[in-house]
Amino acid sequence: MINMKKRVVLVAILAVMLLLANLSFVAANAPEDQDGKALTQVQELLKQIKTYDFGQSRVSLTDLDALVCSSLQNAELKAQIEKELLSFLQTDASFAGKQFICKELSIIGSKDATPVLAKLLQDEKTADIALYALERIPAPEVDKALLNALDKSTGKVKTGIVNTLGQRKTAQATEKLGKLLADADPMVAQAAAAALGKIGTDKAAELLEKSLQTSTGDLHIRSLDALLLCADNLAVGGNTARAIAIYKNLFASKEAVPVRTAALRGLVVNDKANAVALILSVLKSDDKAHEAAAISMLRELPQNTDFTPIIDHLPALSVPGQVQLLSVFAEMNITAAHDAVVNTTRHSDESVRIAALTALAKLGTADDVVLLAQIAAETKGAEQEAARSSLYLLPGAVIDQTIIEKISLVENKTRVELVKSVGERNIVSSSLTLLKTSTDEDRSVRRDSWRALALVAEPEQVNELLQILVKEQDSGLRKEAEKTIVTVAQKNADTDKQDKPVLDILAKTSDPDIKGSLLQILGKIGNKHSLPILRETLKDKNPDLQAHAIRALSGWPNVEPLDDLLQVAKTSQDETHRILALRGYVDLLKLENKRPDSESIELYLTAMTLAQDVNEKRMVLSGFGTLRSMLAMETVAKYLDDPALQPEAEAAVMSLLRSVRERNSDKMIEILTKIKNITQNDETREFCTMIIDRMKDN
Amino acid sequence: MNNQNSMNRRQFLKGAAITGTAFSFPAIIPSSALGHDGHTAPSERIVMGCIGLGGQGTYNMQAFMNQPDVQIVALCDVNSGSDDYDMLYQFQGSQSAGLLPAKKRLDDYYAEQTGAADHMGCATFHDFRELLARPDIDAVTVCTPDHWHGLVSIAAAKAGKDIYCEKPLTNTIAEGRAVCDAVGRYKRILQTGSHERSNHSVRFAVELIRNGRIGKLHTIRVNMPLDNDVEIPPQPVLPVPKGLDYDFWLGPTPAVPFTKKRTHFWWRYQLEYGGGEMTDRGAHIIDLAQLALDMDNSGPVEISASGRAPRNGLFNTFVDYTFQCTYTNGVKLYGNTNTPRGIKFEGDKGSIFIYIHGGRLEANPASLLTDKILPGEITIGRSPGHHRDFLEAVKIRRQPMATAEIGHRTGTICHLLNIAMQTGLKLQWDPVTEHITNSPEADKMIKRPMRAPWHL
Repeated sequence: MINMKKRVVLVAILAVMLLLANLSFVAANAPEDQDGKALTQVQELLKQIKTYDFGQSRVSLTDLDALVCSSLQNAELKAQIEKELLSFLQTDASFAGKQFICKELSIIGSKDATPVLAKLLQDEKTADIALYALERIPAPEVDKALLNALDKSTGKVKTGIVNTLGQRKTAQATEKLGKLLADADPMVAQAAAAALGKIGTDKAAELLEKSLQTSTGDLHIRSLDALLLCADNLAVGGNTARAIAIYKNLFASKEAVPVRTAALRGLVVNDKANAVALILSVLKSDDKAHEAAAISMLRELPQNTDFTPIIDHLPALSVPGQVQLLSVFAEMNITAAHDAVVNTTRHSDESVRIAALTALAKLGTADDVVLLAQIAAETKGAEQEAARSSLYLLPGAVIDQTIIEKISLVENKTRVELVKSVGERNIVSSSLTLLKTSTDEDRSVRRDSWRALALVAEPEQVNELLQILVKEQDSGLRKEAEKTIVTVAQKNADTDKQDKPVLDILAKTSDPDIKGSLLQILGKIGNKHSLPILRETLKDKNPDLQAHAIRALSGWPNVEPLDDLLQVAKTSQDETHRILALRGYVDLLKLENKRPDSESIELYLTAMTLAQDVNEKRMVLSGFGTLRSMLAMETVAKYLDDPALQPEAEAAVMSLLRSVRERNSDKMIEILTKIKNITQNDETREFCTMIIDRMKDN
Repeated sequence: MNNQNSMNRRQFLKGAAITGTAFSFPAIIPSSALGHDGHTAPSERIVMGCIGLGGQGTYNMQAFMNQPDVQIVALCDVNSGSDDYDMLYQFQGSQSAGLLPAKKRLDDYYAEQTGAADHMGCATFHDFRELLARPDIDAVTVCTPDHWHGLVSIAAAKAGKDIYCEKPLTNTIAEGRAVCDAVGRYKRILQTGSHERSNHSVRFAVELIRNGRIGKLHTIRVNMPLDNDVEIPPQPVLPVPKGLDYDFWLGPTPAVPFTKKRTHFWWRYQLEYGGGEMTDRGAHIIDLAQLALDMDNSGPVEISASGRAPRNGLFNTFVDYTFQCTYTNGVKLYGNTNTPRGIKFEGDKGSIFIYIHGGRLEANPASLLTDKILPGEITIGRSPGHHRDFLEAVKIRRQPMATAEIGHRTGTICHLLNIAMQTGLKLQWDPVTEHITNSPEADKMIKRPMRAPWHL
């Protein structure tokens, strides 16, 4: 047993050991040590990069870049790495290595990098990479070095230096650049013009203006652009008067259209008080080159500008000009243009009428509701579409109220349009009005009322809708009513009650046509309460009612009536019933289900045995395309040999190609090769060829 | 009708700048092009040129070629043609893409349309500046690799052309701003190719979200899995293939020798030329987050991301990643490489998932998808199709579905996520000044120096 004294000593020793271990851990992870480690890594990597050449592994470059990036928030380490990189540049390292290092210096380089990089400017081979680094180093020493190098350089190097001075907006370079505008090397002269534009001072503008008096060709074009840039810069810097003077001169000149357009834009943006008058003067002048540009510049003005003179000038514009101006009015929501827009809806040119109608979606009022409905009723195509669209989009409850009020006051065709708009606008408060119009004497009004009711009626109104349906004599409209009632009934969150009103009416109805309609509704709603009734109706003495029941079961939303339809298809003596049931059976097979494909294939093959002619077989084959297995593809591919069924089999294979999950490449290539050889469709043949090639490549 | 009223659409588009040259193409004017048989007369046609004719460029050329009111008169690519394009972009009847294969498709199409033996009206260019100098061209497609999008679009705007530019709009944030400025200055129409926002179902879903059908939106989840294997070994330096002006292809990017997988489809997995899946698909998917949030002119304020990029081979864009963006209204956008590809909007009353591509919707509750947007509620309009929408915008000088600003702002998020992954920093972003405010070094990465003579 260790005595107490020894224990104390042991604990003390352990504590000291732990403390020492801890201290050494802290020391090893001290920031300066980490920096030292990083620096060592940089040095090691630079040794490797010294011989790096294009086409070799980039691992050392990538690792060095990561170290450089890790130093971005560590000024001391960054400076140390910069020093290492600069030393590297002064060795006989490869060009590829130096190029990479210059890129890194462009990010972390400081004024200290200037002398080394400036030296590289002297060699045409390394000047580009030096400029790459220098351009982004924010030190005045760089500008000085560039200006020194400028005098000693020629050709592409000189051009590069000029570009860099421009990019850096080195104002001290202005005088030198001004002289270079007359350089014998056109590349240098053009670069000088562009650089002066970027520097953008009053003096730079003056030099460019002077040069423009004598320059020609590309230098002239470049100087014009530079002068515009100067003017923009002067305006941003507060010297608006000087900028406006430049724009005015350029706009009044005989320079090319793009230059004068830019000058006009400069005037509009920087002299907003006079902008409308200026734009109007352009629109009234013979200067057709600027009509479109001038109109588009209205967008640069505040919405509260007085646009009256422009609005008044609308009818005098060219057709494209009117179309454009109308779209500007709408885009800027210039309500003062309302009356002018309304007047233009009757313009002789269709494109202008359409533009005006489209603008009314934004600028229209309740007073325009009937006008839009009338135009929609009177016209066709794009004009009708524009009128309808605006009627549907006009915002505000007052528009909804106006539509409801006007429905009973307008003639039939206009009423149809207003009824349509009720649905499109989802005016829930209109359902009572629509219940009335669904019994209108005009068939179109009734039809569109039913359509609109599908959107706005509530489940509580299903009973009223059924009452109207039973009185409707037109079978086509009853179909429309059936769709509406299904939609409205299905809005009832209590799914068990969706079919109740229908069942109640069915129990009281004897008219077979009405019964038929009600059965269709029950089929589409697909509530389990209705299934026994539909099954019972399959045995009804009335063959028409039997047919209704088959159709209703065919439209069932799930596969529950599959066996019922199969039985009818197998046993019915009535040819119509048999075909209807077979079609319904295939339709239900296509619904989403969790059956394994092998089972579905068996069911389809059963249907194939019941199909009595080519058309019925085609119909069954089309279902194979909804499956997802290789087995399905192989099964359907067997029908490729039957010329009568080949197109459907081919379509099914193409469809399966997108969905088959477990691919058997050999088998697939065999099937696609067969299709490629027999298909009549060029696109299918090319597609097969491409897929076969890809599969073979893989 | 006075003289002003009698100005036709084409004069309206081009104004007095139209001269005889405008009608000198195509050399053989088909009868249908004269306005017979219900076809659009030349006076109403938009004359187009196509710049960049690889896979997507050829696809876009075909999409515009099929529009009844478009006449394509000029094509441009630095590559005369190649069989090396990815399988994804091979076209019927040909294994290759590039300038001459595209010209053949275009000529064949116009010849078939006109019943002529051949079609001779399409000019070809190697240098986009020459194509842009043609005064008869109203609009261009810009379907080059991403590192050229900005420069070509800016040059097109300066030349007075409208622009259909593939997404992502540019390869850096600074280029995006420069494109927006040029398009604004010269009053041009620009449609970014982020076509998912033109899907009807997408626009309907956005209306549901903006009208509060899923309650208060609090979370957006983006799934962006990568389809292609990008873990390739180092690629050997090879001689430049005949027909490719490789130095022009590199353009503003640093000089590096040719290797096969640097160009064509595969450029997108190298940060000099593209931004990987993050910008490639992000320009579709993250774009929808911006649309649903009504933040098309702004963006998130905090961005963090971590990812893994290949270390060894040619490709260096990120392949596995998770990211998070926070908007000023508190909405969080999370992203990862999970499947299925798409975007989910979660509110306190429900959620909507949009599948990319195609715009199939899933909702919880499912009944949301049968809802109607009512008068007075927020509506964002419908697109007649992304290409068609561009043409309609050109005709009446309205804004298209995916303006330069929209493309730029979406691209900005994608680029910021790449910068966050590259630097390992959580970035504070100011969408007004468009600068990273918590790291001057990261802020430098919003632009990239260009090799002379090219400059922004």
